[in-house]
Amino acid sequence: MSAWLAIIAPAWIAGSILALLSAPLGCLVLWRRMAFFADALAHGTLLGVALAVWWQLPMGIGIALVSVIVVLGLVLIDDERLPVDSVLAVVAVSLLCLGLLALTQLTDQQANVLGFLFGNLLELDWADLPLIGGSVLVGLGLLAYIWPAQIKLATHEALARIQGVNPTRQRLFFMGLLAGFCAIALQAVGSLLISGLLVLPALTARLWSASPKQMVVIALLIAQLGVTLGVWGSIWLDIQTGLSIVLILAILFFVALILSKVLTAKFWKARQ
Amino acid sequence: MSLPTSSSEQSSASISLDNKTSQTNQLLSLSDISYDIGSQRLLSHINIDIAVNETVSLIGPNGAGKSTLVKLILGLIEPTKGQMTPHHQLQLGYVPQRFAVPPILPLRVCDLLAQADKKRLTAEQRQFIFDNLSLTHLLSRQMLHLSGGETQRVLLARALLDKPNLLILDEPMQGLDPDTEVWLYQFIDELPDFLRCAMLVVSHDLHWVMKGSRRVICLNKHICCEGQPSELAISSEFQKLFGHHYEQPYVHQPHACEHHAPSEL
Repeated sequence: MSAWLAIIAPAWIAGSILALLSAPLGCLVLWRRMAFFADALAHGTLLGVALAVWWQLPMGIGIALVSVIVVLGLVLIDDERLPVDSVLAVVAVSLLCLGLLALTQLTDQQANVLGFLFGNLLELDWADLPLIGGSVLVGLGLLAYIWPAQIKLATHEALARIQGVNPTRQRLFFMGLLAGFCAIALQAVGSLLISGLLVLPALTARLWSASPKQMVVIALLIAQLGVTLGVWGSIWLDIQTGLSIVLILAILFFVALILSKVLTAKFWKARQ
Repeated sequence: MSLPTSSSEQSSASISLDNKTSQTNQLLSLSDISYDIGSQRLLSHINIDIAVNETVSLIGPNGAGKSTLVKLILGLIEPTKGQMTPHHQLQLGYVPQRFAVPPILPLRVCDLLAQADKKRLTAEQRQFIFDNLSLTHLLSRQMLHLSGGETQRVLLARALLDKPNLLILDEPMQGLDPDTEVWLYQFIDELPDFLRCAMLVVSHDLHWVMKGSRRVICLNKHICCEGQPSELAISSEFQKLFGHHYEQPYVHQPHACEHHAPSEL
């Protein structure tokens, strides 16, 4: 048991730290309707990693570079005839293809492709934790700084603006924060499943919450549960950590959904 | 921040006695403002002065640019030409025409009201607003589940909690039943001293507009006419736009009625 724990502990702790940031960030992603954008950024991390390995730069720089290109690209593509969500889907799949191509052709990382796609937390050891902890702390600080303005913008943009909130600035802050999160989360759940880690706990929490604060707290609990069960499950089933974490989160979502539907139906029946 | 508001409170007494406003009492001046979208001119050569604590009602047919003018004054869009000069530091309050919280955001009434600036009113003053707008029993309800009238009351409270010196109401009574409408108009007509502020009310309701002694501005891409209701009713341009309404206020004429037009900007 203790031998198992020694292998799992760093992954488990890293996942839990990550969930501290992913849960509130995921709520904001939903409220600001940025789920597709988050997905595009997450897919972009793959290309970022490939470029970084190719040019022998730190991975963070490669991911930051691709994130900036994604944002600039979106500004360029902006066309009122094209719906934003489908443009983002196009960007996401293009980035995924480019990323995979670059990773397999330009680098010697072919063996690790699955890990980049679906995450491999178990590779982490104790030495990696300070960096993850520090990054999450910075992320939480920035999130706390933009939080009140972001909630106001999510509620009503005009009302927020006349209170002095600058939407463009807030959007840039938020995009930067998301890009940073993708860079940290890549190791845990992989490029394909980052948006699942972000969105699923928040979506599940929405079913059971009456206020923004409640939604964040419940999302935090669900994310922690998902990471814990996911890390154990990944060892038990011998699959990538991202797969098991997101699978657990998806199961939790469907259970919560069915439960809430049944309870609501019962509630109305009792009232009649 | 505190200086302009205190001076506006002092001048409130003189304003309510004297409808003619002197230059020193001005809150906001719009001079020769035009606004274009592409080659289309939505507003041209607008000159409006709003005095401290003055209530102005803004009327005009659909597509007259009422909402555009509101957005300009709120600073949400920039005029193509012309200048807007605030004479005091503006503290804006705004009750939007449409308000819908995205369903993914769980938001109770108290969460929305908490977004207002907490330090501008005392606890008793906040309680006064809650009591007079009958909000206390709504505080824990979801914004999503409120009726139209309840939403308007919450939004009005949200705007007043910021203690504005210019309150802008954009068709505040849309979709309300007549009783609620009368009640809300009475509330904003009789604001207590600590809430007294200049108001710009965009309205389709000619009854309310023509009843009082508030200055009326009639807009149709430019300012057609402005003045006291008694002066307006005899102006020919006003007659052309609203004559049928004003002379037969009790006859509902769907074909000519402005209230239920399907698309308004």
